[in-house]
Amino acid sequence: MTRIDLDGVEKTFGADRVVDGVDLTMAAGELTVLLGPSGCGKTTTLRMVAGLEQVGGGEIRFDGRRVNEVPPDRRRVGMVFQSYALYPHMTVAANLSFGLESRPDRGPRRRARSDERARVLEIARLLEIEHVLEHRPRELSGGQRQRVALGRALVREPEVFLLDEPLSNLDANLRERMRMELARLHAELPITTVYVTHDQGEALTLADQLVVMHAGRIRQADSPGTVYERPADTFVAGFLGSPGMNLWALAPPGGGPSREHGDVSLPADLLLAHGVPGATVTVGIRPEHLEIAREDASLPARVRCDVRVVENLGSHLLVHGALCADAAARVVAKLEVGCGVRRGDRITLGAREEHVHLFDAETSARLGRTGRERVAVGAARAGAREEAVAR
Amino acid sequence: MRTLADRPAVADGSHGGTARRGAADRPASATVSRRMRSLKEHLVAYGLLAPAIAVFTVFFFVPAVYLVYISFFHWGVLSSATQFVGLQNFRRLVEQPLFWHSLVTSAYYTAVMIPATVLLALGIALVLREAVTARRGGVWRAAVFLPHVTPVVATSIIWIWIFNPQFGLANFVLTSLHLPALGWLDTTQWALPAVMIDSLWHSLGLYVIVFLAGLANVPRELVEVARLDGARRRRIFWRIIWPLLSPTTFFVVVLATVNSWQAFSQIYTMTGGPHGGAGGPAFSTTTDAVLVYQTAFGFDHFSLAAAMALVLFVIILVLTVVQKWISNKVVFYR
Repeated sequence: MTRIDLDGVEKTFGADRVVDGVDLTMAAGELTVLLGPSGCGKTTTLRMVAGLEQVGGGEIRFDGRRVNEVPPDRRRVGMVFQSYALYPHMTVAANLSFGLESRPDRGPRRRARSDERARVLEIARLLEIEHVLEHRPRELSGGQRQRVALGRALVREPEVFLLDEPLSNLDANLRERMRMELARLHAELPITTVYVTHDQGEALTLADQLVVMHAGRIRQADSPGTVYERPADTFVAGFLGSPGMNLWALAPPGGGPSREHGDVSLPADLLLAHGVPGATVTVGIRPEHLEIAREDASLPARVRCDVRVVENLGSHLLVHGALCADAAARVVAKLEVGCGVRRGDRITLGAREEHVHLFDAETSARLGRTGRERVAVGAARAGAREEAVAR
Repeated sequence: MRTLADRPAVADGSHGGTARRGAADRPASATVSRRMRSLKEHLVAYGLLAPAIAVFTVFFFVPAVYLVYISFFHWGVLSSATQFVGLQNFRRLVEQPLFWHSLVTSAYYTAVMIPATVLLALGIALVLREAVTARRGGVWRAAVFLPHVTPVVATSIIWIWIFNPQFGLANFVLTSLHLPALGWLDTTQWALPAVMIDSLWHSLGLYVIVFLAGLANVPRELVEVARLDGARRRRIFWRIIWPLLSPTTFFVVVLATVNSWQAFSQIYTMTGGPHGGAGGPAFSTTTDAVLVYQTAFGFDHFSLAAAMALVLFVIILVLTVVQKWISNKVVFYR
């Protein structure tokens, strides 16, 4: 098992800096998911780890050993591409054994062909594709092709396993099944794995470490639970979750209700507890944490909105609306099916105090931290001010 | 006004299914208008095709059919001299040593040109693909393609100068490399290779572009996977690129075969055609196509030339069918 360190890794294509100073540690045997929207640099980062792209700046280390200049075949990585990239003119067995036959160290110490055949059979059995070994890729279903691609990457016993959106070509049902298969496979073969996806369902269910990227930078790297429950900034908050977190700007005049929209109110002590020094903040509440407001004080955070669309998804209603005073400020809530909300209603939603997230409006970083984290937020804010002054 | 009840149950009298009946239920006027529209569309389509069909008919189909026709006649330019001779032209052909010699020359020319074309064109295409940056790639591709769009006769005259034994560039290069100067077009040994060099130079650009298109169809990811699998360049080429490129290679081989068997202009120009001595020296460059031309326009024996052309056509057809048969076994179509 290999530990991977990325230290200030950069990559530029022409004038575009697609990966911009990525610092990341992937622990040995862990499954790290790189998640982000298209063009965020996640695939380029993966390709640099594979050795398929030259590292523009910084350093990649495998177990502390710099690998920037090491060619792909010497890195002992196995990779699954989004398109599977199976050799279309070869049988499944030939696809699987190609890597074994191509080993640079095959030479005088070459494995006997029977050994290679045995290894192919072993992998085929693990992935349940023994019955298609003599088939060509075009004769296989999407799921079978996926398994062959996995098998080809695993057959050489890689120390690092790289997957680039491996499930994106499958239909919803198959994707779910293959996701479970991948989780099983990772449990059985604890190889250090880097998994690139833009599907947050895959990311949250598979990851030991979830890395959210945007515009070539890491916005947050933590356990999936932490990333979901304590998003580091408004991008992560809005990106993760389906739908993403509701975010509204709020200008608290020393602890009173919002002046910005007049529709969002938070108790003054909540703002004080988060150390908000009277500046504009962004309030975030996840759709599933909003409920129809009650008279009691159990839901101290309040949002007034006009309902525009109500989607009945069977298990719950997805209510889309906007703040009463600002039609551009969207509100999304997951409510119970029997709550009686209809299109055109003006409703007040509430949330528990622990479900309210506060972000610095200038830096978009999470507020309400303590100690070292708060110092970092202060520094980021100072930096943003300096940049604004410089502009 | 027509009502639903007025419509005929089955307009065309057939007893089709629901869809058929649905179509039949439509008013007759709608059916007529649809037919008129369809007819109009057909007329427009044939109208647009007409110029191309006319050109092909006048310059290709009619001469081709007429060629078959006159090969069975003793045909004179004046129709009064024409008489049916059956297979006599073909019998005379097989008795002519020069005809067999021309076939051997054509076969030799083709046998050298095909591998040379494939090797050089694929090599250049690989170099262009691998070594040239995207911005400069267009310039290099244009440079390689440029000879193909130049007139064969004009460039062949330049090649005559290049192959001039006394002052030519070819011998200058050879002597600069301390190699003996050659007689080139003046010798039976080197005249055909000289023509081959000109032909290769002229035709290579097209094949390079075809190979570049073929290479562009080989997914980059397959090569990357092979690299991750530990395969070296040579293995990647032979195990991945070459099989996936086989449809392109097959296309190039067929095209080069046809073009080689039909090679005429460069041979005619370079071997003294304008002065009446094409195919020399000592028939060393007399290919089948050159002999057809000389028989028809040098000796005015049009029907014998037609028979030769027909034999050439059959040879090319058989070769193409054989190549297709082989391709079904070795070419991989995705």
